[in-house]
Amino acid sequence: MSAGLQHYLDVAQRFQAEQAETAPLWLRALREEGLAQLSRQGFPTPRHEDWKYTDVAPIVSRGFAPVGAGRSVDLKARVEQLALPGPRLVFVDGRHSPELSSLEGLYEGVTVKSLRVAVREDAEALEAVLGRRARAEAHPFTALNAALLEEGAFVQVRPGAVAPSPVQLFFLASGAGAAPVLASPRIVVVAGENSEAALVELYAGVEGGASFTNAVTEVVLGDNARLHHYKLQAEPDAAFHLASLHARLSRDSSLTSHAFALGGALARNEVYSVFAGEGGECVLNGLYVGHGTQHLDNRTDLDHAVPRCTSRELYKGVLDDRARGTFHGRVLVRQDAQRTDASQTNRNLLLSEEALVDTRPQLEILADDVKCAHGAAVGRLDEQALFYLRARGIPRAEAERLLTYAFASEVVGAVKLEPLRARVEQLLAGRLPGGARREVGA
Amino acid sequence: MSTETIQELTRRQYQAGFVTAVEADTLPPGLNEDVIRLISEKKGEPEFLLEWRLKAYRHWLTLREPRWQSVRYNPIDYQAIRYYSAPKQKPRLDSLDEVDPEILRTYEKLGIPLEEQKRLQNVAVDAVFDSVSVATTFKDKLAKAGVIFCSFSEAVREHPELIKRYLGSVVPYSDNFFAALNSAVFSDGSFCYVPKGVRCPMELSTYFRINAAETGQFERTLIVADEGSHVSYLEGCTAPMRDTNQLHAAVVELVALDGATIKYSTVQNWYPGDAEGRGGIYNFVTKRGIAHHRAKISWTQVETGSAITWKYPSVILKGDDSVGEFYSVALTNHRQQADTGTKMVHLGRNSRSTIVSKGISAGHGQNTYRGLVKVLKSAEGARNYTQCDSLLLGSKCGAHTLPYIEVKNASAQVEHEASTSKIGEDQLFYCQQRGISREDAVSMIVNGFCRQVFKELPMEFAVEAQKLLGVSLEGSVG
Repeated sequence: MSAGLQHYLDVAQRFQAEQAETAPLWLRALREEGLAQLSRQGFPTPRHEDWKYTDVAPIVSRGFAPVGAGRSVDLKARVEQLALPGPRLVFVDGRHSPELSSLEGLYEGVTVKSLRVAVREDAEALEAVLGRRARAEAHPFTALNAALLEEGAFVQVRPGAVAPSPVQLFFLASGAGAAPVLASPRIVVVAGENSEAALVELYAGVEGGASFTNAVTEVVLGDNARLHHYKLQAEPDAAFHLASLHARLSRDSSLTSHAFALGGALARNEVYSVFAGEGGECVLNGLYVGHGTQHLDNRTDLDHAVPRCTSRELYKGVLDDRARGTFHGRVLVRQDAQRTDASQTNRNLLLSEEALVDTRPQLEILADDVKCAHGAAVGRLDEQALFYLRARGIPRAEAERLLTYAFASEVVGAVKLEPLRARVEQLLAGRLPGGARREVGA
Repeated sequence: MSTETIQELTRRQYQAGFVTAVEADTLPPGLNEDVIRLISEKKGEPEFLLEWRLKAYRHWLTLREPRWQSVRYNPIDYQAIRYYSAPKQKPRLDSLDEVDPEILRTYEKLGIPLEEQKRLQNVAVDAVFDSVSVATTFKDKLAKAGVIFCSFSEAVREHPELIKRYLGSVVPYSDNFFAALNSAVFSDGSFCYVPKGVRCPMELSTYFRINAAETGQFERTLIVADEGSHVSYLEGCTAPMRDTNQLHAAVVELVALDGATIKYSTVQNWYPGDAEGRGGIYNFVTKRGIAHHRAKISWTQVETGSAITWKYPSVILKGDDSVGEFYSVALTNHRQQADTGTKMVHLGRNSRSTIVSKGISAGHGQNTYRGLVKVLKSAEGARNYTQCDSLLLGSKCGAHTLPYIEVKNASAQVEHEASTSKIGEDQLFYCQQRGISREDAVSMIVNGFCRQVFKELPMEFAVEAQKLLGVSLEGSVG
């Protein structure tokens, strides 16, 4: 066993021993299962087909550990700068911060609790879903998250409730202290029948210390429920970020997921979506914008397990400097999933000679009455379009910026939530070539 | 699909499934260094080749069988295979009159009348029976053009310098599990050398036939096209019907030097096993070409046979302005499985590649396209276009598309497109309304679906491929 793995096993063991007395039995069982699975699976290497293009060795070797409670850092300014208006839960270094959070204006049909509170107050409802979608045996980092399960959020949308404003979960890495910080948030969302709600997950940090966020989100949609899920990952360039979203869609339900990956030295976002009832609809949008030596990885998996479901997937990448982007998307259409309509697209724009892209769009189809298509493309800016703009007096740098923005705007424009779209555009503006990249991104 | 058509489908017979009674010189099953020495000795090989085989064998021992593929099969017992089987009749023949009439009849039954080759068709044929080349036609005419086309063993004897230089230069013995096995035990195959600036005057062709039981076929093909030359090569394969699975692990190496063109076409019709998936050939083949400056390598394959087809004819685009092409039709019916595709590795500037893959799945067939397009740092201005289409006939089959795209140069332009569909009721209705029977309409649509690939095949093969596809799909949609 590698020293890196041993470190994480030790950390989890210590954590579980400390918590043994206070945690309910079912939670202890979940944690122990996570630990056992992590110990059994170990961390993946590029020899694993699923991790072919992403090496997690920098995370494994660095020895991240959760921080203890009671550390106070003044982050109010940072939170105000990035957070959207409306109700929010804020977590600092993986710990819920009541003073930064505010649930004022929360729509009455929606309940939002920190996971720690929910374990006490809503044990029954939580136990029924926690760890059911995100299985420790399927993923070593889900296992690690489960082994350290403590903080996060539990969001419930009452059947029939149509929430007008989004719920915001803000995860902030403080950058304080010398030790590398591990945050393992777990978010559980249960949307009742005929409900509609929006959830925003925001990840950011303060430059400085090393941080590793290992987040897991579980979403269960009732019949005809609609959820708009937005994830904006704008961590510092030195941060490590692994996150997965696991969703189960019941009959006629709809999930729209938008994932923006802007920060992180090594960041991977995974989306696993399973159709469990007919008539479901799933839209997966993604945009990853990398510069410097960032490594941005995207993994999506759509399981068409039942007939008559529709999925639309669009992931776009913009890679500059020596950044590396990877996309691995799978669409599985099971044998009886007739009348499936699935499309998957991945497009990548390389802005520098040193940037890299690896893409693997996959279709696995076992039913015959289906409409499935996928496409992938890698290229650089169209010289002719650049020429067209320059011929009209627009300087080259500005023209490149315009075209790059146009490329990205297909994904950004799909965001229905006005304040979030503005925030993404603002962050993006700092990232595009020829722009004020160093001002904002640095 | 109606019940009758399903029954009709299952009744269909594999037409090349007979066994020929020829006395064979076979080694007992099993593999060790002595077997390899024996094969080498039987073939009268020079020392360097034996050394190479042994190195390959020792390397093979250190390898484990790969497991990443999407095909499933029972474990292969490598000690139960006979590694050498040759029709008993020696010495090496110079004219067809001396070939065992039984073997000639076999080829005639298969529609490859070796005797008539001279008069009728402008195709030179090398016929490989089990592991050994039995006849090569048109040698004289080719020799006049300076083209060397002979069995591999003959090439080892007559042109050892060429073999020494190019053998393993594209697919080294250490390449993969099956290539290492092949390098250790290959018994024969075809060799072709086209000299500088020569346009090979006729199509070259090899027919492979597995006859003996319990044998594996391990042939090796090496084609070297010298600067500015041009050659078109065809390959066809059949095997008898048996209940047990037989392994076919071949290696094909193509070397296209500056400005040369190699066109390699395959119509693979190994025995696919019966409707319940008993028997059939495991077709685990390594095929790869290397294209130097301005050279072009084009793979065209029509894969209708084999219980399992698992191969990726690849091109290393080493030279500037080199071109790689891959056109494929893969059909899986009954319980057949195919995991096939290509690898295009772009090293040279302005290298271009085109991939067109058509997969057709029927019955319980599983068809996977797996392809890699890799553009390395040095490949300024590289261009790739990939199109993968799948057609599903029936509700129990599967079609999978698994492309891998790795781009390390920003100037590269890489596109991948794929679609999966079935034959639309409206399309069938349209045809039927105009008096075309349902059966004909299906065949027409399937042929139209494959046309892009068929038009790349040389004339004789295109006809054969269309017929083969027609037969394989008979009654499978209704």
